[in-house]
Amino acid sequence: MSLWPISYRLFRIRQRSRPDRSFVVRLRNQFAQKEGLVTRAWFSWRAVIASGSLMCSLLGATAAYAYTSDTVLPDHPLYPLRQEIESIQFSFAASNPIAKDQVRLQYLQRREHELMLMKQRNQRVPLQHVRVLLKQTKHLIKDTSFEREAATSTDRILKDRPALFVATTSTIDHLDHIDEHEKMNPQLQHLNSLVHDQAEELEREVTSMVPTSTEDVD
Amino acid sequence: MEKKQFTSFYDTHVERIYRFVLYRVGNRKEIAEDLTQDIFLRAFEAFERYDPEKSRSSWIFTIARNCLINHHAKQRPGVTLEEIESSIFASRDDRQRLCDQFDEQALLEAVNALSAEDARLVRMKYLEGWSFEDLEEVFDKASATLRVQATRAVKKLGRLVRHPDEDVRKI
Repeated sequence: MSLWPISYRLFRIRQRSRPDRSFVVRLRNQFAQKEGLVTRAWFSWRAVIASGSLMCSLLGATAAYAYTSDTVLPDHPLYPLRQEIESIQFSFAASNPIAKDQVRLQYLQRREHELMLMKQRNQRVPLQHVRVLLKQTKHLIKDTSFEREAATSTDRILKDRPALFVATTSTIDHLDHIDEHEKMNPQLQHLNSLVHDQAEELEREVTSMVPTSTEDVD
Repeated sequence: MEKKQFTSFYDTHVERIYRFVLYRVGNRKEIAEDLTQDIFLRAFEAFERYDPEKSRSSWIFTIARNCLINHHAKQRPGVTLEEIESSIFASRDDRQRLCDQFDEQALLEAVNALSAEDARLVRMKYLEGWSFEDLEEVFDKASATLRVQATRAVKKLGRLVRHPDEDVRKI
């Protein structure tokens, strides 16, 4: 006689008299906590992922704010973050000379915009910040290739409103807004003359480097 | 044994212990859950003193048996496990409760009709899910012997299910 029907029927009873899953889990958690695994509860992967996501979101939001906000100007604590993001963006574009020039021109426009904003708000901008902006502008102009290939993509911006000229002029204008009392400060006068010199030098360089129209490029 | 190993011990034995208790408290789930919790709490407290050389199944079985005796003793002082064993599915109500779920009344009655040791072996092996190795210390017999005994018991069960009026001693 085959035994399997009886064994199978007993097995079926066994399967159907299982404890409730909720009971088993509840009791198991109770012992896991007693075991001293309570400390592991806060170290669950879920908590790690949640806090990691929160950190990433906060960092991302801060970075986005630093990169896009008009309130982040050279005297703002997040301005170094903006510069860092720009350098990362630039390193991505570095392999393509045209993209590189486009990014540089974009940065020139941003610097110009920053200077305009500072002027509009009548902020008293420390001279060193103006110098930083000027230095950045100068490097950007120096590094930007106005060779034929790159020029075709940059001409549209340079033709009607050359960002670098505006940037230079804005800087000088801004310095002129410093009040009379402060202008008497010999250190500031020295710095001021330095900035003026740099600006003039910049202007000369720009004049020699930037094509006056698209025909020159062609 | 370190208490940190307790959850794995619990995972291995919880279903068997629950069934062991369930069949001995008249298939009452709430009582079975309370007693199972009590058994594992006791086991947890004594886990560090437990000698790993000994069989874990036999150890938890002893705790479960004592808990059950205590539970039944509250209603009937001086009760023994053998008496509890003989009362499993003995009452019609108990059988009915189980059969409402499983529709296996004839089979469970046949298990009760076996000799006490065979019935206990069939319950523990087939209804509760203990391995023959686990049962060595409980029955104080070698696993090979228990295997043969279980096979014979299931054969007897088969005949008892087909011929319920047959005398088990003649099988």
